[in-house]
Amino acid sequence: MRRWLLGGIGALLLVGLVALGVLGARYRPKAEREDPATVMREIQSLTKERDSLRAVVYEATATSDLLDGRPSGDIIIGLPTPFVDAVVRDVVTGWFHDVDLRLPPIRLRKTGEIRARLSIFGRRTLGTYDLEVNLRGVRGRLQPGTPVLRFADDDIQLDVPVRLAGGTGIARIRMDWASKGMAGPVCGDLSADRDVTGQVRPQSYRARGRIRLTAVDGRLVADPAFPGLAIRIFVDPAPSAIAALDSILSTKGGLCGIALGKARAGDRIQALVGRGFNVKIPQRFFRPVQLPIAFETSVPIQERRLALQVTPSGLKTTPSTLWMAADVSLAPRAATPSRTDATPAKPTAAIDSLR
Amino acid sequence: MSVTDTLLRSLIDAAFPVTVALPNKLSVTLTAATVTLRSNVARVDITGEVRRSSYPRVAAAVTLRGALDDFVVDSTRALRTRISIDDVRLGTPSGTPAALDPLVIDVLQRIVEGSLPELTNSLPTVAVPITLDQAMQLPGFGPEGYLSVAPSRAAMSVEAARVFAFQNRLWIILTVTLGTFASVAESASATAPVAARAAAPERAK
Repeated sequence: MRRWLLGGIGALLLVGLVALGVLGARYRPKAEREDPATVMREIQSLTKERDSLRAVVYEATATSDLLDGRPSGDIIIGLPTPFVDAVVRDVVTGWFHDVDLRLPPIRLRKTGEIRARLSIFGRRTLGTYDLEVNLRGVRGRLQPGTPVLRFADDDIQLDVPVRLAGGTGIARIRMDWASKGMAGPVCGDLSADRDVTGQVRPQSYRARGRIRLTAVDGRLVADPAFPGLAIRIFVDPAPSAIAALDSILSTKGGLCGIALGKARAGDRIQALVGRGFNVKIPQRFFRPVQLPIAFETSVPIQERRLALQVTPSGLKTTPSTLWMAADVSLAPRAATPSRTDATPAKPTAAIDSLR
Repeated sequence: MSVTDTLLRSLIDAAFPVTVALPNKLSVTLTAATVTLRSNVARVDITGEVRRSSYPRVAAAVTLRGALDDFVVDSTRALRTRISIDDVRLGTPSGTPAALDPLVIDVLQRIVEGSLPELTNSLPTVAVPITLDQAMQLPGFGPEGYLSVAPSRAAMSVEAARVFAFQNRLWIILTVTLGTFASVAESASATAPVAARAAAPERAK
């Protein structure tokens, strides 16, 4: 029994020693683990690989046009044209998104004389009409399509499909009829006055313009121009409302009915509003948009702000990148006190504009 | 975007001198920096002096070697980076004759090395002089005449995605994500993008 016990203890000690030996060999100091010659060979191999990769980088740099044409400066900002394209698309879409076009009150008037051939009496004047349409509350909404952009020098040419996505309006229509000649004793004078609802006719337009890219106060600014852009609003009176007006006028029969039928109030209203109303989009509607990166004229350093002299040194558009560069030096005057809030710093040194 | 080593050095130098008190009445005064941007290494060497203010008085030139690290677009829309120190070297000792013993310099070296966290924390944060907006604003219009359009805003997140040191310039690749434009009232509740970090170029060894 005692022998078995001693044997067991001995076996355990042996296992423990073997385990310690294995762990010691596995986790011995690195310098002892690795043969110096092997380490040197590995260093040489890695150095060779690094040099070959460096050569690949230099060759790629030399052959790639990505960095071509960039201006020089202490700081260079390069915006990939796909990024600028995406931002400008969003901005342009934003300009035309849900633009509320609202016509001011418009008064349209048409007067005329109605003549008709009355069998044996020949062509006779039946009366005069005075038609007045007062449009009010005519509203339409613009919705943009997908703009087409083309980068050219420092401009971006734009072609934006815009849809006037309908709208509504109300017209107060008054028609006065004054009978004349043979119709006078029968018909007398007549007046009808009624509110007529209308729908703004959906239409599609193309807004063509350009965006000029400039650097102003160290910031890239997209300045849009859509010269002569106008939207024509067409209002279609509701057919039911026109029919109701016609029905008032057609209550008269006989000669009177002939006279008023000749007046064709509905057609004349359509003719009055059918030419549409031009809404010019003023240039100031398209405000310059600042792109979201700019040079800063001061930086925080320790507990103060360090004023910088930032001098723009170039703005260049290449097929791949929109570059903006500036030379930066410490401003000669003393640093300004530290800002404690998170608001943007007031420029402490002027940045000259590139243009 | 990219920035030259010269400008980075100017920005770091503008923060100097910086004096850091260390144990054993030692102080380190840092006075100048050099920045080397080459082979994807953004190395920063900072020179100064370590000095003991009581007996045995001793002084030595100190060089901190490290790299630009931890690029962050912070909540103030600034792109910042820190200097991390990896190594300390002391040289050209001066002072009382006893202090010139190599053993004293060795003790100084150990004390300064042991204070690397304090030294790193005392170094200036380097802010690259650019502003990265966190939203794009489209101004409203009118109502004027026939037209009116509400102002709109799109939240934007900017991250420093990658950093390369190359041909004496530090190239910082930013990832910009623009949200959809919404009227200002609708977008007021949108949360601001959080600060993002970028991996630094390879550390100087």
